[in-house]
Amino acid sequence: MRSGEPVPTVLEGVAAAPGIAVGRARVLVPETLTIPERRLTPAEVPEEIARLQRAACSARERVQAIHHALAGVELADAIFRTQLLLLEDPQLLDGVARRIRDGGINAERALQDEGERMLAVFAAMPDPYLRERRSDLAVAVRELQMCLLGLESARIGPLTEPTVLIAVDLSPTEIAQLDRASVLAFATDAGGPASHAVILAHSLGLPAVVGLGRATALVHEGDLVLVDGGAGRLWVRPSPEVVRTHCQRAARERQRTNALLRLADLPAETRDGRPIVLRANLERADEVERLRDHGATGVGLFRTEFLYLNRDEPPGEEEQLQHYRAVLAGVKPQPATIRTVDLGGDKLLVAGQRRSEANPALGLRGVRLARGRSPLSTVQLRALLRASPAGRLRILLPLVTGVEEVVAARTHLADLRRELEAEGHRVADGIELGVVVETPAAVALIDRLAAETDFFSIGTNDLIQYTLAVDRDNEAVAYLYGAGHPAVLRVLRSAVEGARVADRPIGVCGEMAGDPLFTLVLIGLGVDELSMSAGSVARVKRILRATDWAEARSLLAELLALRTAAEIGDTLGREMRRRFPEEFESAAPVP
Amino acid sequence: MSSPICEGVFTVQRELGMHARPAGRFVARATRFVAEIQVARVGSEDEWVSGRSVLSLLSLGATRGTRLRLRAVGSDAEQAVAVLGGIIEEANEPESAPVGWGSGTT
Repeated sequence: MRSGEPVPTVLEGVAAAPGIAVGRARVLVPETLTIPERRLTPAEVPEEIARLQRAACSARERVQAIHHALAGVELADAIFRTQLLLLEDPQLLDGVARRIRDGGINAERALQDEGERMLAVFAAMPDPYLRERRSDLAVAVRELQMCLLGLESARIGPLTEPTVLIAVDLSPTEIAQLDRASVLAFATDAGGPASHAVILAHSLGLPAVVGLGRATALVHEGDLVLVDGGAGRLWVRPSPEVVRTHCQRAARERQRTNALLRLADLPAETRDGRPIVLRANLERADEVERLRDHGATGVGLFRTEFLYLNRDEPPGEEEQLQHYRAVLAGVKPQPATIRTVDLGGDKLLVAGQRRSEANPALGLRGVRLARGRSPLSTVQLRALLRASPAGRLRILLPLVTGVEEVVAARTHLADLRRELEAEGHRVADGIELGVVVETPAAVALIDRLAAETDFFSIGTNDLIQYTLAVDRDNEAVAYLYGAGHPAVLRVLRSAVEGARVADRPIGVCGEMAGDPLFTLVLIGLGVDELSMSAGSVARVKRILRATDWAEARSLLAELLALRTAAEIGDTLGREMRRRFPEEFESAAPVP
Repeated sequence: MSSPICEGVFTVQRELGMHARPAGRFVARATRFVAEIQVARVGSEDEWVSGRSVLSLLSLGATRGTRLRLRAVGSDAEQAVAVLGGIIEEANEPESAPVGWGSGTT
């Protein structure tokens, strides 16, 4: 009994999703479903099995509806896809039907027994990760049971005031259905860092703490509670002082974000007036609407890989067309730079064949997949050309190592344009063709490539990997990987100078572009464009606007005079901290 | 009507084993073949499970290194074994392997 127990003021849990929320607690008591038990006459069996099928059908519809409501939330997608597969799984449904038939029992009882048997199979697995998949099964079984019982899946009734939910656990369906107008945050007893609740709270931007252990036992309905999602804490009946300090902190964070967003409308240029175009890297077409809020000018890199993943056949022309059109129209009149697919050949199931390569980083990937006008390349280029009238298209070729690859792409595009126009399609004029500079070969040939290319974009991640011969995922050598390596700075300088001599614009679209630590280095090199994730644009812009071009050049010259990555890292870190103390107050040493 | 039978042995390469997502893709693909698909752990071939059930595939508890025998019976059996064997032997989930082969790198 909880009456006599002193309640601690703060419970420590797992930080699920950041944010601070104060409100009245709504405590959801663990609800055990009462499973009715009924004997069936043989004549009743077929109708009972039909009832099971109908329940499975409506359970799938429920999950599907939520799935649609959360479209585009990538991790949620995987969770609900698994749910759908389980709810139509022949082994589960046949197993329950068999129990109904052989045991002459009602569907609810049969489902409960079959579910328990299957859960026990999972619980007995030695591998902890596979064992955890029982939570997927448990959620599916429960959802199906609710449908059989004719219960609404949401056990959280209408809420009349801003509320913090306290529960033992929340299922993905429950979280997805939360009334966002009145639920401020949630806190649960169960759950770990990788639980569904964490993934969804993050995706929905809802402050949350999980793994609190005994929150439902210690918090009373209607208690004032404070969720500090970032710290993983739940304050129970906090003092006014605690509430005040937390609210002040939340307000400061909001102010900081707003100040950054206000920057969005100011021009991207150095203090002495050199403009640098800041563009956004995009993974999915539906992110395009957010770009302007962040102050990005057009798309500097739209990766098309996501279209090809998790499926057995490459996407068709029509499907690709929709995505490309959406991006082009979304940023019009600014350009949208779309990179042709950059997958390793071992990741593509082409006509049922899968190649396995000993060294995929040096294997069949990037523009090499287009060799011989492969169907993969033809379909993508046709879709791009057909989408082109929707905006300003720039096509970017990944992993180029020679002039012939660019020439092949150019002639392929020209032939496809004729073909499409003959079919009655419109293709825009002035489509630009660019090269991702990400191999030392491309840097060495930059003048030759310039003759066949409209623009360049440096892909720093791969350029560093190929220049330093380091796979940064290999822990044994990852220490060697670093943008501040003197060889990397020299290679970058030579690429930018080569492009300038050939009078071609050159930008950077790798991680380095969005890392404020390197903003002065890249400005000093003389790049024309930086393309980064939308969330990084404001920080980079603030540094850009507080810097003189001459100052950036002299810092770069100082760094180029140093001998080792460590020396460069120390100097760069020191200089950036000195110039922008508030940006780098807790900055780690240069990678 | 002939019913070709095709079999193959494949080793799970994924770090996390045949978990929900690859099992889901396996099933989604398996249902598009005419052939009937069955899977068993090598050494336990008396316990075949259906290749059209996520639950069955998960219940095999196949971790990295587990060898699975695939059997397809039907007109497109050969292609089914090639394609589905490929899914078993994929090294990693495409989206969780951002570096080293291309996606997400720049």
